[in-house]
Amino acid sequence: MKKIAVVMMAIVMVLGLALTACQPQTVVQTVEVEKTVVVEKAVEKTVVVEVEKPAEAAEAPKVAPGELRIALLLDGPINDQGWNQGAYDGLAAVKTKYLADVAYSESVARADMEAAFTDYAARGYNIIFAHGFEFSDAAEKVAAQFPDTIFVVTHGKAGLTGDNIATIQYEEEQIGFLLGILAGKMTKSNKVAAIGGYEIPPIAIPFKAFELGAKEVNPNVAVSISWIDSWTDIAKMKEAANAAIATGADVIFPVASGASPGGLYAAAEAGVWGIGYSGDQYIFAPDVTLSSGIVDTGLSIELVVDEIVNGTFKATDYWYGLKDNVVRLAPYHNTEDKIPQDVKDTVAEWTQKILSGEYEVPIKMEF
Amino acid sequence: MEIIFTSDFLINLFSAGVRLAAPLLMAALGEIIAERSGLLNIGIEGIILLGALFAVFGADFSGNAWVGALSAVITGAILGLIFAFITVTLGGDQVVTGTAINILALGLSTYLFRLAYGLEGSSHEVEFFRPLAIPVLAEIPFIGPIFFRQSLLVYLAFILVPITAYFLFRTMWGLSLRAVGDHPRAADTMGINVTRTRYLAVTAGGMLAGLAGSILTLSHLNIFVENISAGRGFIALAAVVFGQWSPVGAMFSALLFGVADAFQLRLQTISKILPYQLLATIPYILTVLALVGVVGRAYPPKSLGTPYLREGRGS
Repeated sequence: MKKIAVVMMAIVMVLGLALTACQPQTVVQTVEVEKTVVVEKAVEKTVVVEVEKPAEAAEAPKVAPGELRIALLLDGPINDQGWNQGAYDGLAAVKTKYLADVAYSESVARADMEAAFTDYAARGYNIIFAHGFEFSDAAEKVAAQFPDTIFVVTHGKAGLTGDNIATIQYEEEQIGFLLGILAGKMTKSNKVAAIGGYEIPPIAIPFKAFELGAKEVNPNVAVSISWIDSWTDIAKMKEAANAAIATGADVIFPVASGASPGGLYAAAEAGVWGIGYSGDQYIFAPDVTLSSGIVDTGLSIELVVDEIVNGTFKATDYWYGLKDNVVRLAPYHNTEDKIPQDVKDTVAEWTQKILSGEYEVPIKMEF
Repeated sequence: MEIIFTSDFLINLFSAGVRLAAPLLMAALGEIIAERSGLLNIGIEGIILLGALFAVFGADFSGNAWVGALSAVITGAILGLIFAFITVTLGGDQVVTGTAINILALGLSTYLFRLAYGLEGSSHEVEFFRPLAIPVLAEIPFIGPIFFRQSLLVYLAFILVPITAYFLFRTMWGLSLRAVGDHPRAADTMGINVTRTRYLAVTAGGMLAGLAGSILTLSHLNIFVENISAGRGFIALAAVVFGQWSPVGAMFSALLFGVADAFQLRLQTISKILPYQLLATIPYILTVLALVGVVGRAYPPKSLGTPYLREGRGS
């Protein structure tokens, strides 16, 4: 009886682990793309295939376009309609564009990060993207062991050391500032609320810029910032938004991955404005969502792969912002007619000021 | 800060507290029934999660929120039976089995959700239980808006408190169940079927945990997102201990947790005098105090966590 019990428990556990996306080795989904002869020829014609020279240690490794094997490590699920889904879409775009061989692992836990990097590098993936700040240390460590593999950490610690490691940085203060202008202009109660998942730089920075933007156009506005300590507790996000609405806020700006929609639902129920983030989140509350701050992580991944294919890749920090269209304002959609023209004009004006370099949002990511 | 003392603020605060308490309470009631029979089911976190998912499936495929709630109950019952089979029939370790159910539920819910709705799933809305004001009662000042303008599932959680208490402490079945939890061998000697009692108790507990999941997806919201339970099962476990294995006690601890949570969310938006993390820990500090005997000595059922093997030695 005992033995059966142990076996049963083991079966349940293994089944669970196999289905859970937290163990990279078990859920690696490799999508092989059949490369037709025609396309390969076309690629060879246009691009000079460079032979890797290990002697030149100072230069970043090069990857021929026909040999692209790209892996992506994510810190959450690919269907969060935001941060991770964007990266997944980017991977899919690169796969189609370059007929690359791609693979990804979702919800990689901190403890498994190093193993996940090593695993992909050892299996011959020549470009490994890691999607999130917390991958930085593990990437730096493993990159030293695989000098011919390119490591790119999105939102990574700036200035990682190594000739084969780069980071992507987003000028999120720009979009946070613009959303703040929108909120500051639209609020009637002069109270707006930003609600975050966890108090970490990638969220705290756009929040600070949001406050700055709101105060720029409306000195009387009070911006409250609160945290729910979760990326998934959508019910708690809804309650947090309810709490903010109860204390007078009439613009809600939730940023918490999968939990974000809760804030937009609360806004829709109470009939106050909502603002989305990461992706275009108007679908959750079409009638009250003013706009969304899009951080197109997918496009940024595509841009870096372009650099690699063109042979211009450098082991550096790539900064992407409004000018690259990586960070941008989503369309107003259903609220197009509800937002006064002068508000739209003010937003457009500040967008131009930032684009032209006339104004620089005085908030920077600190490490 | 003076806003805190207005009646609108307090009504809104307690009304949110009741909403936040409901899923904790429902799951805690189920866990009390299971634990009173001697089975420590820490798998309720997973059962809540799968209950939440199947509630959405049921409501979506039938277009009826009741069918959703029923699917959640059936899901909970099945998981309860699996737990009972491993721990009662096979005598497996209860903590390991519970953990296994939690891991299974996390993986299975993600897998099934994507299978059904693909990657765009988190925007999929279903039929749900809307807030329902109870005539007359909802008009009572202060109390009305707090307790009587909630959704049906929230009412159900609170109605189940006296029912569970009556069942446990005033009926023959309740007495047998508690006897099995305190001293299974004595109960067995007196002709109570220990195996059957524990099976029924943990299955009923699973049903309530499943229903607790449906409160999240069919009452507070009308969508499912991955890992929506977000640790509520573990807080419900704490509510059971804090409530000293009594339904009324569990109700007050669930309300305390709910109101404390609602309060810290509000305080964050009003002022920054205290770090919010500090406020968020208050219920857990109280739980620890309860455990060390400050709030009142807590006596768990004596055979809690130990399998009962008829032919075996001991208990």
